[in-house]
Amino acid sequence: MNDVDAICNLKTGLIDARKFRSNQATKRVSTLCLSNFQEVENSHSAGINTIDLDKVEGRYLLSGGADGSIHIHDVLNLSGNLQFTCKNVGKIDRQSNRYCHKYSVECVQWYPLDTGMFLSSGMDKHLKIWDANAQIPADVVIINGKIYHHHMSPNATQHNLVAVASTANQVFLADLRSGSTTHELRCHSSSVLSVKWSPMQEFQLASGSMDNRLLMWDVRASRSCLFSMDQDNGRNHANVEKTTAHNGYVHSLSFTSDGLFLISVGTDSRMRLWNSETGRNEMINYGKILMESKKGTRFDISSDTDPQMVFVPSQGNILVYELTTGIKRATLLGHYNTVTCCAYNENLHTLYSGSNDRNILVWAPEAAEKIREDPVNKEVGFGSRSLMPRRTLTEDAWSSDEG
Amino acid sequence: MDLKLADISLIAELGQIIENIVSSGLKQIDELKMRKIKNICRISDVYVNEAFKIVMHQLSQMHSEIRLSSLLIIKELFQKSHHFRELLIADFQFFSKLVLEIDPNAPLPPPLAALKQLKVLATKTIKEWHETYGETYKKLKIGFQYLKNSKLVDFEDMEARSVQERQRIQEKETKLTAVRQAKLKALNEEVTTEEIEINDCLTQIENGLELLLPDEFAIHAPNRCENPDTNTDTCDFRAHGISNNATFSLVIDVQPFQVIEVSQDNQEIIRYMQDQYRLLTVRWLPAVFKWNITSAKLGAEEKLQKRILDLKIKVELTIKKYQETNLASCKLESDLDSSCDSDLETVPDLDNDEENSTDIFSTTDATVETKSETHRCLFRKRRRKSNERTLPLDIDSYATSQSNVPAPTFSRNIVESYWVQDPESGPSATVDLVTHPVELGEAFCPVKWSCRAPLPNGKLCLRKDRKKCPFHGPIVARDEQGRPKDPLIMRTPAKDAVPEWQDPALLAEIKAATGVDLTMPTKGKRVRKNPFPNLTDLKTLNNSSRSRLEKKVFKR
Repeated sequence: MNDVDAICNLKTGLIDARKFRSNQATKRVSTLCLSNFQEVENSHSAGINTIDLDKVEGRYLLSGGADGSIHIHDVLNLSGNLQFTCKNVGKIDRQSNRYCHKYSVECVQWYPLDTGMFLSSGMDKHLKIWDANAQIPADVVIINGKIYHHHMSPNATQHNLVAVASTANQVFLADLRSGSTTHELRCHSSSVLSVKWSPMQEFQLASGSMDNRLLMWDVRASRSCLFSMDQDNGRNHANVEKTTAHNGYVHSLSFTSDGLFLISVGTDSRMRLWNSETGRNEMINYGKILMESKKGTRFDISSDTDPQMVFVPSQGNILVYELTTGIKRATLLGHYNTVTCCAYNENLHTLYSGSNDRNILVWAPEAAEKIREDPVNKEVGFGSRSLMPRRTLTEDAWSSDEG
Repeated sequence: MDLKLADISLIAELGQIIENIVSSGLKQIDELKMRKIKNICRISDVYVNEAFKIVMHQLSQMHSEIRLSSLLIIKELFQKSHHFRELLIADFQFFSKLVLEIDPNAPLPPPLAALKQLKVLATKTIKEWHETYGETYKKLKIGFQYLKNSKLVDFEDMEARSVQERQRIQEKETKLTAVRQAKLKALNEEVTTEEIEINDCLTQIENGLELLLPDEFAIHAPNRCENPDTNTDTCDFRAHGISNNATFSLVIDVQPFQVIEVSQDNQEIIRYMQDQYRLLTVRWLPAVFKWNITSAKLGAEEKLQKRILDLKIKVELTIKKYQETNLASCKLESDLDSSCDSDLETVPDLDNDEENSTDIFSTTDATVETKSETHRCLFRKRRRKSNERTLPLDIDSYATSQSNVPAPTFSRNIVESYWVQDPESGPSATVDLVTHPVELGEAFCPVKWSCRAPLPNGKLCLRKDRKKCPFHGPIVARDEQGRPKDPLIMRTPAKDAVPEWQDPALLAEIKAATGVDLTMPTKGKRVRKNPFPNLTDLKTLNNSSRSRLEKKVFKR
């Protein structure tokens, strides 16, 4: 269905607005490629470990580097030109800010409801709660272990807990109201690499660890954990205690936006889809996804498309999978070292990815913009000159005498 | 079906041509072959794909010459095909690892000359690509930035030095400058401490000179000015009966130096000045010269150099002043008295007067060391004179040697311990302990003939051997040209007779005409054919005496 028909159908009421929206989003997401027009100002002087886009307007991109620095970029293009560089609007590094992390920053997250606050944690065992405007930490929680990941519930109304995954074998819960850790969730037998709150059930928490296990918690429950994900769905094990989710470390995990499913990736080069209610392995084969890193790799899911897409970093590339079928839709090439993280922007249908080559790259659906490109540039005048060689450059240049 | 067949044959041809180019070892691509590749590639992107695979395979070979040629092919195709560009840029990290030295764990392969060329060409090419295609192919642009910023490839540096190399050079430089700084500092300190002493010495000499030679100009010049007669002197010639035209010669005996009379009063001063002068010439002058040279070498700052130069000039001036007097040749009374035990007493020349020296040393109580030294020289001399030949001491001559000479005894006392020789037995005793004479039945007669075999440079062999020259065999009578006079010797039977058709010139002709090499293989040696004769053989490159020894010594 082309755009004209889709709009017609929308106007005449043949399809509803939500459907139209998801159709368009899907269309755009499937044409994602390395953006020719947008780029993020290069401000990192070390590999990038983590990025996060704010949930409020999808405008500010937070990124943490291996040298302890944190940068904020404004990704919204208000200039009116296609050509756009995301400016660095906030910089916290050793030269400019004495509160900066001492060692590598492993995780950053915006406060879900506001861009006035964000959290960062890293190898210096500090979980810092920052005032984004003043760029000074409002509070620092010291955790008993090097922190790999933390997460704050996106929809919680009854608690203010931050789950922290660290080299200690427990999941710590830090309460923002008191500024200290209030809970320890004990069941893992090795370092915890990843934690995520459920976007639906505000007391539900999932954690993945180096002991190959993926556990689901209810933080109110007095017993240790709700259940452990079993990759074989209980067929191979007599002993429930020994169930594993992966045959390697559980690197990273994420809930789908509806909270019904949980996705995890592990160092066994597998990605698995779990039912978050029952803990059943949905047995979807995504193929082999190579992972180099021993630390967490952060992937993201596009929630507004149908079907939902998963963007998984794999070595120097980003792989795009359909969530429910496991079909690989695309491989995004552009980075020069291990890609560590990516973040999807629902408003612009763009993807941001950070890697160890110090670059944050923008992946945008530019096939549509290329059509628009000509008239826009002709009006500007000088644009046509710069565009002429571009078109010839992408063509073959076999000379005529070679026939 | 036909198309399918054509595909495979063309792909095979592509592979063949690329391998041909790559194994040629040339620094430039054969135009014709390159044109063939392009012709195949322009048919369809399928062939471009295949070409890319083949070239990348060749590029990953562990041989820099192969890589260099592959890079040249890549460069050509990159300019032509969009598909090829996309393929290469998708694989750009791998590509750059193969052509640039960015991964310390995967250095570029030998040979060194091709390696350097490869790096230079690669940096140049990537830079060109970035300039031309950077805006169109985003990943190329990012890759260029990545190489520049993260991998620190310097695209302006035309020698394409890697980070490690640059670091090494920098470290070396800093080391050198540190050493230089230390040396300069030491020099500066030395100059400052010794400058005072030099100045003291100089002032003492100057003052001494002033005391001995009161400055005539300072004292007499005013007197002369006062004398009114000086102007009228010339007019008086006529009064003396000498005409103005008369020429006369006036001989003024200018003494080379000012004479100072030695007296009881100034004796002490003179002695002291002589001492100072000795100190100046023996110690300070060489020191100043040395400083001057080192400061120039180290590139010292101007201030220090000027200071040293000033010192040098001052010292030289003072020495000159001193030499203008006869102070050096002044004989003092006390010197005359003590001349017999002076340091500068002439020692009789040992070599000239053997008898004499032997006497001296047999009587004087010199230390053991000097004794043995003179003995050695003495012994050499004696051996040259008489034709007596000696052999090193061994067990069969032990008894005879022992009977003649009393063995030295080891004297031990509290202060020092040394070997003591019976003084009566003389110096020859030690010689006899080490060697002993052997009586030969006949006198030694030197070899009177030389080998005289003709040498490749047209001369004749000059070796003098008694019976057999190690190079040219038994010595035989030869004529002026060096040919043996006996014709029988001329005909040396050829052991391994080669058939006539094995003439190298003929073989070369056959090879040029037919391409067949008919050279007979050497017996007992299996000749392994090098499949790529144009490439540098890495095995022979590594085959050094060091590597072979390493294999034996370290890899056990």
